[in-house]
Amino acid sequence: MENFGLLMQGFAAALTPMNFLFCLLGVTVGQFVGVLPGLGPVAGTAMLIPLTYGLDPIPSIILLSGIFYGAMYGGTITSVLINVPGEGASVITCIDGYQMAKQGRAGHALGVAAIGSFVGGIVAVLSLTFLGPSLAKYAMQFGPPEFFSLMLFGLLLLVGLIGKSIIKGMIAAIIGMLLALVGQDPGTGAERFLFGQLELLGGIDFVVLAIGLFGLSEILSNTEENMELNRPEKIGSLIPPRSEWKASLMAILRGTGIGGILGLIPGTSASIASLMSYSLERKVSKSPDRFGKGAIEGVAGPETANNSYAGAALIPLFTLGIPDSPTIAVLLGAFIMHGLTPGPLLYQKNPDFIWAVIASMFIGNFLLLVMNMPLAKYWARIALIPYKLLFPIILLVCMVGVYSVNMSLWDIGLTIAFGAIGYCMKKWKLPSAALILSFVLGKKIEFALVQTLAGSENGILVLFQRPVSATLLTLCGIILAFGLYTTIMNKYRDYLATDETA
Amino acid sequence: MKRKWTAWVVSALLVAGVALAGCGQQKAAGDKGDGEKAVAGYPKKPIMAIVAFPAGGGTDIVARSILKTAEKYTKQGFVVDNKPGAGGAIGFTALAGAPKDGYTIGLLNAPTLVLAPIQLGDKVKYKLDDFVPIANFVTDPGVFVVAADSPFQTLKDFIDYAKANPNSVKLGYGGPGTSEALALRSLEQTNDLKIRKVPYEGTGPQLTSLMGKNIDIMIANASEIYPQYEAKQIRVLSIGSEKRIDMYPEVPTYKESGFDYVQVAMRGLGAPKGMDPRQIQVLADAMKKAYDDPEFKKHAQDLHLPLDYMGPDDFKKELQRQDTFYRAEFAKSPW
Repeated sequence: MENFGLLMQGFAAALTPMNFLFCLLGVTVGQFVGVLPGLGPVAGTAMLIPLTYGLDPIPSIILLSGIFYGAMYGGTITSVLINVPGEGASVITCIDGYQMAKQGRAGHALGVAAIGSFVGGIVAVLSLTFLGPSLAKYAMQFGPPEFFSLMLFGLLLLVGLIGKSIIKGMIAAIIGMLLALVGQDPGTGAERFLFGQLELLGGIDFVVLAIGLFGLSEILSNTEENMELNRPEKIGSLIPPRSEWKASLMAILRGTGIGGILGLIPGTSASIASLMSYSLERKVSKSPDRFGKGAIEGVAGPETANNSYAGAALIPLFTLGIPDSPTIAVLLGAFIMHGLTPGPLLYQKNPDFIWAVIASMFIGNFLLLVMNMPLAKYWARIALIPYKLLFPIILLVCMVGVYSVNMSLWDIGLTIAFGAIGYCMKKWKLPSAALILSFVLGKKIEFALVQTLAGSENGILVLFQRPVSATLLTLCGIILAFGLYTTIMNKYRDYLATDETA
Repeated sequence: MKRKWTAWVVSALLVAGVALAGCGQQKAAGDKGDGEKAVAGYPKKPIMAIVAFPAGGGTDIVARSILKTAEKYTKQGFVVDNKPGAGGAIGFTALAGAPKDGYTIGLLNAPTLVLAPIQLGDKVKYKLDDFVPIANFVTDPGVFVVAADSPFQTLKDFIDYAKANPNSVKLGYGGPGTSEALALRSLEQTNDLKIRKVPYEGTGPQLTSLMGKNIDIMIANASEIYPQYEAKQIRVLSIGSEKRIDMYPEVPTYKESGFDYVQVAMRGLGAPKGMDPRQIQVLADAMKKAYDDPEFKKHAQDLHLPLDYMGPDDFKKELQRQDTFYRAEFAKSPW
């Protein structure tokens, strides 16, 4: 319990008026960054780093990590209310969250997301406190082969999960994979699908694709409909009805687990955590057909997972000095700027610093919950703004968000192009979510496969020789076989049924 | 009625904002012409510094720390503008095409800056000649790194083992087309080796893989592995600088280890060609003073930056040396 004593000292440091103020500032800014589409935690943290130069290290890092986990809370809000993901990790929340809002249950969705985020965040910080070092060591064993199999497993869970038709889901997923190929081949450096545009050398940015496919297409397709839609007048209570408590709670617990584990694994991201959680919720649900029509688990699980991920992802940074996602890499830069070296010696060399930051994360998560529960009501009023006023604002915010990523007008053009594609996909009922998820996973799968093959003496066989990877691949096989079996049986039953009626 | 009123106010504000922004730009354009006046009392307003990599990255950190100290001597602030993308090519292109009024400069990363035009030819819209070097601050050498418990004690151990067991050693590197890839290519050719080269995105994942035993050895930049080196989790076998450096005093150079090659990543400052040479001299003097300032020295030490000052002429010569060297390498066989 030595850590406990240190943590208490950390609280003493984090609760000094100055540090408390910066914690409050960090989570507030984080929440706004999360709400604004395109402006994700990466951009938010990067933009504020220069502002912290004049500060001491402790308030600076408290502020910057507050932005990081605060953004995970904020991202939910726009996903639920206007079907535009505030940041990458909330893409999946659009599916059921927006449906809930349409049914007048925006309050429930926001409420359960805030509670889940709080639980996920606190559990992750607890494990950072007590289990950090030993967990991080275990996660290091995770090499490219394991990573490849894990991503493949994730992708398989997702295919056919979204949308009504499996074929259409597959088409969208394959387009996503193709878009992921744009850029440089990770193994040979060969240029692919650049069409002479140097801007494409680094690949298509996730934010550009997400804002175009979701944000712009949503605006386009809504404007052609009746601009004065019948909108629910009441936001409703924040606490979901008692009948949904158990389902929500279980989803929150599972989400915490998934986010926590993935946070430790290098190369993952909060988006992957949230979409893995969504797939799991749908798999374990007794009534999977409710998903896509406003299932509360579809909001509770993923929103918990991305917060729990945000906390857990700090473990490898604090204990090993290794950033395992882009946001964390920015945070690492901030540590270095302030003369702190994250890594094995941080706990020994700067204990007052590390425990103050950990304590501030408890405080920050609590602040976010307190802020979110009452504020959700006011946020939800966004849904009551007439479209003709709301859409131009969203459009502007989306474009500013996209521009802020690389400060490039090219990205804005690309976003508009993806907006048009997203609109067509809506018309053809191709699920955009399947496209974007396979885009995210496709890049990572390819890279992991190239790494696996480059380092393997037995070619592709190594995937089956390493226990974790082999287990995951076996699960993939089972899912495929089961999927095939049920499809065939359903067809057969349909065939019998039509036979009888005929 | 009330609603209409609000709409009017909002539109009026917007129009005013746009008009103001437009005026600002006109003013900036007007400054460009008068040459003689531009030098007297230069700089008169903050200078923009383009960084071709994201905020919080290695280059950004160097830029912000030197420029912050340099403000003391220029009496004007610097505004860092991060323009990342296409491995730096976007930012370098922006710098090459920037106004030559003395108020836009940028960070030059070598050999990245040198390599892109050689490899990609016309697709890159800048040439090395488009830049005038001002000063170099950091020379970050490449390093071969193994886990603390690795059987390789020296670079020679690794080379001998790789020679005896072709295609068995797994080495992590930054991916094709990087200066690391070129160093490895040379290592393989001169020693007739076959190494399994595993690409990584960034040093972090590489270190994880090294400690998790998924790779046997890795090549990275000296400044990026210091924490793990300090904690004795890894050992540095050899370093790519001309001479040994203070940060890793006991680590022999590639040359000492029997690999005749220099592999360094440089971070310096440059201006677009066509900027007034007297303005460049003003900045070069300010940068030299900032480099010698104890405040910057202290900061650099905290950041584990391998410092290496070069004035405008030396930096230019070094960039040209790299250009000649890599062009010859590319002529031998493209990568």
